[in-house]
Amino acid sequence: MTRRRLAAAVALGAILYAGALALVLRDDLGDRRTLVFMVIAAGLIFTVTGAIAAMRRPDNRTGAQMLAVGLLWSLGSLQAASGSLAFTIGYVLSGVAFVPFTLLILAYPTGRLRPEDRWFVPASAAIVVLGPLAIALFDPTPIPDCTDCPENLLLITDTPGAAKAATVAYALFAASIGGALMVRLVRRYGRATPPLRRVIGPVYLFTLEALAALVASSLVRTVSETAALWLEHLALASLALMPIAFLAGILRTRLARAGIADLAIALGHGTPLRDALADALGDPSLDLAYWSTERQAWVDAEGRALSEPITAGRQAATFVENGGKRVAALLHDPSLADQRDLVDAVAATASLAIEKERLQAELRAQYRFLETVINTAPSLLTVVDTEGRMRNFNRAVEVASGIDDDRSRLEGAYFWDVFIDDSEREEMIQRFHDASPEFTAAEYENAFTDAKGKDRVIAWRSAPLADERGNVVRIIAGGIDITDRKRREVDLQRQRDFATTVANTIPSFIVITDHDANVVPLGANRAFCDATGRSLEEIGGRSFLEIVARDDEFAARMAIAGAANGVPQAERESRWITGDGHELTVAWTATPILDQSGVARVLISGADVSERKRQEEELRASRARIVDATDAARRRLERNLHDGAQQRLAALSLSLRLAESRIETDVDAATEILARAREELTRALEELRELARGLHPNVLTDRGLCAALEALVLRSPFPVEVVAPEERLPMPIEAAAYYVAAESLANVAKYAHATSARVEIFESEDGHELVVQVSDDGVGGADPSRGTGLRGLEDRVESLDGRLAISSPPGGGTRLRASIPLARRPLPL
Amino acid sequence: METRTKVLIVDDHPSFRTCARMILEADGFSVIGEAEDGASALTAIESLHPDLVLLDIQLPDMDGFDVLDQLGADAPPVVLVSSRDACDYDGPIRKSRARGFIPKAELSGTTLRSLLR
Repeated sequence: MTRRRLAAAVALGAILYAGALALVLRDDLGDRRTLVFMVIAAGLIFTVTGAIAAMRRPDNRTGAQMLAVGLLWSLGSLQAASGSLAFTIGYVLSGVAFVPFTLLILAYPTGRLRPEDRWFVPASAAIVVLGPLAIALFDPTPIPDCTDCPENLLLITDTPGAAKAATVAYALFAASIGGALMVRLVRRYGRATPPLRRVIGPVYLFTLEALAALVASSLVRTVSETAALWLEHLALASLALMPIAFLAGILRTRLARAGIADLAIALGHGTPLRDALADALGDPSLDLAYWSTERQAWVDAEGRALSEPITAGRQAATFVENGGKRVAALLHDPSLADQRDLVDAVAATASLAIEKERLQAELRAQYRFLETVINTAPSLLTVVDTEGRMRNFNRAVEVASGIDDDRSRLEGAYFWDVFIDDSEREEMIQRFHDASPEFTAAEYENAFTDAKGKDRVIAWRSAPLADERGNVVRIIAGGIDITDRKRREVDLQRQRDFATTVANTIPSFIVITDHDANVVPLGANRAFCDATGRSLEEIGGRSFLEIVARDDEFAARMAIAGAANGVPQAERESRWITGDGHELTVAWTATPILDQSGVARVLISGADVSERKRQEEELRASRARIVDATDAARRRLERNLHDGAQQRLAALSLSLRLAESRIETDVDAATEILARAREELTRALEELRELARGLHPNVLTDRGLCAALEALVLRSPFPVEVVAPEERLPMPIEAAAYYVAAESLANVAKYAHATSARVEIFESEDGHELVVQVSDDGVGGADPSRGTGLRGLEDRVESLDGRLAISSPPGGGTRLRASIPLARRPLPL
Repeated sequence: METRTKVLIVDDHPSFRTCARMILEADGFSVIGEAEDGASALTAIESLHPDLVLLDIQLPDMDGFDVLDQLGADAPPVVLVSSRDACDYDGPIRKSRARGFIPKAELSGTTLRSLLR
């Protein structure tokens, strides 16, 4: 309400009440004078207190509402006027002040009407205006017992029955709304918080009393006018006192300021801040919240985080600011929101104490945070005094010590009794004393067995803590349990050793290169170094391609590039050149691989197949020679047949025809021809037999090796001694042994110029081989690489997985030794 | 009087040469010489001027076809002989300038004359 409006309202009130007093004093009111005076007094009190309230609390509508009650109240005094018009208006509007009154009482103390209360205002307006109006229509004297009252201008017809009915209805409606209002106020009081009750209590009490009296008066009036009058007096008295209660309530802030001095004194005497504030604000439920700048959250005095929002529940918050920043919040009863000045004054008075409490709360919060961090950290943390006793420690220390169920066992215990094994304890104690008194920062690792018998390794780091005079008073030691790491390191090293041993033991070559085919440091195994004749240091960092023969280099480069791009390469053969220039044939693959650091590398693994290749070549050549030898034997046989028996038989055919043509004419000549023909036939048969024996000696099949050899040496031009087993052997072995002996003797006959020879056939000592040994006393100097005879023998023996050895020093005779396995070796898969 | 055809026998087997001489002479041929290898055959042809050469295909120094290749255009007709079958030498015989081929076992004056006609 503006000051101008207030002044206008006050002026209007002065005029109205001056008029009312004039009316009352002029007329003779008889025994109603007291009542009328009381009515005017009550209205005046409402007007004056309303003006004071509106002036002191312009933000609160309560003052204006009281003023409205007071001003409208004055209209009732018109009933005392002598003029009919004024009297009639005064009668009809006598109750209109109850409309702002209803508003005032329901909106108190905030001055704002709640939505659920709004219907009261129009309902009460209707009742207080329509009720008297209805009575006035049928009753010539609406004010009872007023014999000298002016004429009722609204009277239509003097119908006492209708008037009585209107009066009863008015009373019932008025009593109903009054009752509803009472019920509402009682409930509201019941739900109010204690501070709110203190404010509304007196007001509600007077209101209820007045309403009860009025309602009772309305009801009693039909029975006893006297009783009704007395009740009206009581209601008026209550109403007259009510504005005082209103004023006291809304001006409570002003009065409470007196308590601020008490607050300062209480804080000075060390009363807890919350209690002092609760007393000063009259709110026992008051609480405090502090803003932790560290955590950016509201915390309580103990530094514990509060749930957001902090005004949950039935509390309202008033924020305390310092330098434009929120530092705390008073969590108080919502009713104090109406007393912002008081709350602000209290907050200002206690701001230093609040800031101090806030800092303490923040410190506690930080401490709690650190405590949580330290206790949840996996690292061991302990504070040791200068005697070596543990004075404080975190949870990790308890766990690592193996004593995790009784903290007191560790408190004050010597560090070395907990973490150092017996065998090293004396040394540790000595070290500790040696470090005194500086206790300079140190790092060390120690292995020990904890109280539960578990082996542990801890890496410690310690540093001294000095007091303000610089004397070391504590040593702080932080440790990390590296037991698992150590174990993993050991495991890893074992795996590496295993892999290295495998890599260096296997005969295969292993080389690891980068994507450019450069061998990484230590990237080759022993087999590779040995075979290529290069040291690890020599090969490290050099291109792998340097050892590949020039013709194979391009293909090798492509294979390594392919593997570097993640494509495993099929096995290939390349020629590698050793350090001394030899050539190896190597079958190798290139495979993409990640090294221990995860870097992409190429793994080259290969095997030396030079010997296999040589054997394959040898085998191919041997097969070719066997085929050649077979072809040559066939040719020789055909030639022998052609040159020998066939020629003789052709000539024999001619001789027989010639004899046939002569037998008639010249018997002698024919006889001579036939005689020559018979000789020719004998020679032809002899040659055929010799030929057949050369193909395969029948005696070998029928009688065995010994008999066959004895038959063979009978035709030898020089004496041959035969020593051979009598028992039969597998046919292929007998045949091989026979031909070795036969061809050896043939060679002796052709080249050795020997006078005698010796054939010995026996089993080797281990019984696995049959040895055929042919020796002569000839000129020696036989060379298997030159003669085809010896090479043919070699092929025959090797076809049975055997070996041929020749010793033939010039002039020293020749000794040939063939070893033929008695059981064929299984073929390699 | 009928002139006997002069024949040179070239073969490295003496027994065959003896039989052949006896059969051909009995059948009215005149064997004017024998040779045991290719080189001596060429010399004999040059010096003896035979009317017919009976030439063995397999000789120690060269074969009968080599001898044929070295003969001049005015050389006498040549009949090849061998203890093998004709089918063994079918192609070379047809390509050569020889008059024909007779297996040794079937040699007679009649077969020889039939080839000369």
